[in-house]
Amino acid sequence: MDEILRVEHLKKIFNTPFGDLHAVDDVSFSLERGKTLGVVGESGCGKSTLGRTVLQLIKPTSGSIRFNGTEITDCSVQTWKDLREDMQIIFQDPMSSLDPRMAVWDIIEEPLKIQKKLSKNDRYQKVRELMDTVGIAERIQYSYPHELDGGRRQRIGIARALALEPKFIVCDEPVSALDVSIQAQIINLLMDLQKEKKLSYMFITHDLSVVKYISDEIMVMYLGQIVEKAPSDELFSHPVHPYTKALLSAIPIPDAHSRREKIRLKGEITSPINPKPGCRLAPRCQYATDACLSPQTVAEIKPNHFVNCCRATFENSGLL
Amino acid sequence: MTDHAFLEVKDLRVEYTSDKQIIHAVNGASFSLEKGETLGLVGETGAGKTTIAKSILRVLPDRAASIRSGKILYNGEDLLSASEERMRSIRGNEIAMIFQDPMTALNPTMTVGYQIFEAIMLHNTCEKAEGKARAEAMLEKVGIPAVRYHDYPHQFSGGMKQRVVIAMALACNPALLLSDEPTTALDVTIQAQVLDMMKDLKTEFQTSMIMITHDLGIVAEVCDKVAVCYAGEIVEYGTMEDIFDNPLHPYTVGLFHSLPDMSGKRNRLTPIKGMMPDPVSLPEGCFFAERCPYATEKCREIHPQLEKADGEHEVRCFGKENGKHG
Amino acid sequence: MKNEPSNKRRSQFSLVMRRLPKNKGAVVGLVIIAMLLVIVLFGDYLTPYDYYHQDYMNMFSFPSRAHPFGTDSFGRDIMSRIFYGARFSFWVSVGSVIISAILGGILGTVAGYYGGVADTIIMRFLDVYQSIPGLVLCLSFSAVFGPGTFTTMAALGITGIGSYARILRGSVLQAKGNDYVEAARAVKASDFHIIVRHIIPNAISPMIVSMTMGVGTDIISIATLGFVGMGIPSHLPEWGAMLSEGRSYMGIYPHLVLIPGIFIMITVLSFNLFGDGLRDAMDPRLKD
Repeated sequence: MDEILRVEHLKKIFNTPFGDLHAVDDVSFSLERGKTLGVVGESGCGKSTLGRTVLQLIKPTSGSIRFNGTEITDCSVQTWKDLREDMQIIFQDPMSSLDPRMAVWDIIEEPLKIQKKLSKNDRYQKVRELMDTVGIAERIQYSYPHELDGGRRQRIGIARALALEPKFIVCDEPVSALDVSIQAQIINLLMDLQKEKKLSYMFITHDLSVVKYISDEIMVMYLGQIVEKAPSDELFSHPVHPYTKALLSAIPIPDAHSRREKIRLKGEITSPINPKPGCRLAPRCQYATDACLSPQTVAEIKPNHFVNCCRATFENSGLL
Repeated sequence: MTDHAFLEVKDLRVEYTSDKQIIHAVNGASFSLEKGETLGLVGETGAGKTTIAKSILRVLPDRAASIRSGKILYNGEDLLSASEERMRSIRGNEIAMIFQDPMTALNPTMTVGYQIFEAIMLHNTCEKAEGKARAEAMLEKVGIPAVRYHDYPHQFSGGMKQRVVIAMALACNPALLLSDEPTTALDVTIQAQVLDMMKDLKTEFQTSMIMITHDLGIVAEVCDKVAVCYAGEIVEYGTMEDIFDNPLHPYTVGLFHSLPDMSGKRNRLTPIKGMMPDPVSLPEGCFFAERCPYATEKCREIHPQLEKADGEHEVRCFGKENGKHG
Repeated sequence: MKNEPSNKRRSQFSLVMRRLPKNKGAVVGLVIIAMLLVIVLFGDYLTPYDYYHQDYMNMFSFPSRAHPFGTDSFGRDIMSRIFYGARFSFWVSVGSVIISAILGGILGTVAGYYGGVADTIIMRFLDVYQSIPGLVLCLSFSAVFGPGTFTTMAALGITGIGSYARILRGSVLQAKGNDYVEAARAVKASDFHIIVRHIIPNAISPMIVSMTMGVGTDIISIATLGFVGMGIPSHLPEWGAMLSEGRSYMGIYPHLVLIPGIFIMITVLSFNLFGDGLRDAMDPRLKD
């Protein structure tokens, strides 16, 4: 197995005036080269923090992150400098992720300038090439971000992320702010790039239809923890965790005749500050019992299908 | 059936002026709505959906926007020629609007209960105690315990705030509710809760609704009729089944193809190429011709009209004659 | 609506040069500043009298052909005094604003960008620092280094850092929250690069406006210092000093306060107009 990323027991706890906020709480997963790991969850579940922690844009509280076999949480400055380029990020809001005072060309060139590896001429060639790759016309190269539409802005963000030829990209809701017809263009672009450049993606989103489409494996997060993780098709055809089921049944399906069983969660997401031991979904879960109040363990109910729910684990072990 | 529809929008044209440029935001939109029905106004950013809704309430910015032509018949009365005084009595009372962002729709310095109470008192001459009782009842209706009457907006989550906004909109039992992307800012599970609630309330109050959204899934879930907007005009109109089972306009078809298929395999998505035309300089022919795989010479020269396809199903495309629908 | 995307390279400088002339306010401001500069540099050659020449036959005369702005209580020509005094008011106020903006800017940027301990230390220091009345600070500064033009400039400059630091800290905090800062960090940009290239250009606008206002308040403060004998020696015709001298005769001879008052106002206004125009011209998001 050619593993590019392995994360083990990763924790990120923010100290707030109200207590400890468990943004990422004991998360472990791995990603194979050239594959896509989807990370799904609602706002406040810690998925964005997870992405940024993996990239070391946020320092983790504890846990280990191995990238290409090298531990990056406590590696030397030199090693990190070399690895940094291999890990990039694409953001959700194509407006806030581009400096409004820089022209398109300068935005794409910036990483190359900082890297200082290419001569001025080579840099010029490289920027040209990047613009070609992501489909930005030459005529807008000196435009400013506000003069462009969301789709083009996102292409610029992608070009910038590709500039240093990374091996792994965290895509943080890259299409959530776009209209559907443009969204499809960007998804196709990301998938083409993956094939062409053997990229590995960590695709963070709240949109299940998109994540199903693009991911090989999907991880569902709730309040900083992974509640279920399985290959994409398996997760959609056999969701086990009540949260995953609720999430799936909540997506409005664009079909005039769809009739589905509706599983609705009670109330709203609870606070991630000083969470109680036990299942974090319990207050909202219709199946919650006393067993849910004690600490939960993750179980592999089928090969590669992991669930963090005592009830589901119990039921499925009976079935297997 | 009466001789006039509950709401009828006829050939509405709205322009914005900005820096000497004229932006053609709505270009002859026509549709009608019966009592108790929900119409989905679907389209992408800049298609003119919100402008249409704001024209109905006549709350467009005075200076920048001007309604060039058209009629908005509400129970046979033209709202565009109604007096400002009449409009004030209609707004909030007979026609209410819910906006996308619940964060900015509530006043942070007033309790949520009081804001609902105020909405009720504005249009009703009832005793204070009765108004308060009704406000409390409204809170309960949208699933918020009445004990939270005296809480401030910052004490509520996004989904709860949107419920409060809906309670305010429904407080006077309006005949028509304009919802502008009411759940876009919410998480999916919360969106599902709010949509369920809106459906229930709609049935309970017999409210007609115009649901503005970009999400075809929401349309399928709550709408009876659908109008697909593109570049400020309706390109296709029909019942929800018409649109979803038998989409005729290449744009509608394109929208469906752009969506990742939830049930099927990983096929490559087929996006609509290009972008919506610049509303400052719209093409002469069909607005969609640039991006349409079936466009002919005729499409580029002559602007198609919205024509009957079958039953209530209408489409703005020459493809019907050419027999070339996606 | 969207501007027509351009395929011509537009540098920040060319952008400003192209847009500034189109902004009427900025042009007016710039012309007045230029005129003031002429007065500052060549004031001595523009007037027939010496600023200290006293003419006891013509005390308190109203504006006339001989004395376009009239004369003061010692019969000195006001126009000559205004023109001579321009150099003090202009340089000292502009200089002090620049000093406070640079020092305050650095403090504010460090506090806003690094946050945490640095932020706490800097901001608590400023809390204490700003709780001391500005005049007392200036006076103690002058007391140590002795009164004089340069001391006044430095004293006012150092007193003013607090407000600039706070303004810039706020806008730096805002700019720092943008994803493009994170994107720059993801490509190994140094803190210095991020601050100079991304943070400052996006955070400086409110400070530019505040600087233009600062010129005005500083002209008045110069007068205060002069008045208590700790600033520019009181015999020199600095505008603020002229204003406070004329105050005693304001009821009968209003031109004694009006003339310096108008000059202070025009200076402030011109810097203000120019600053506003500059800020707009520097922002590519605003239309031409």
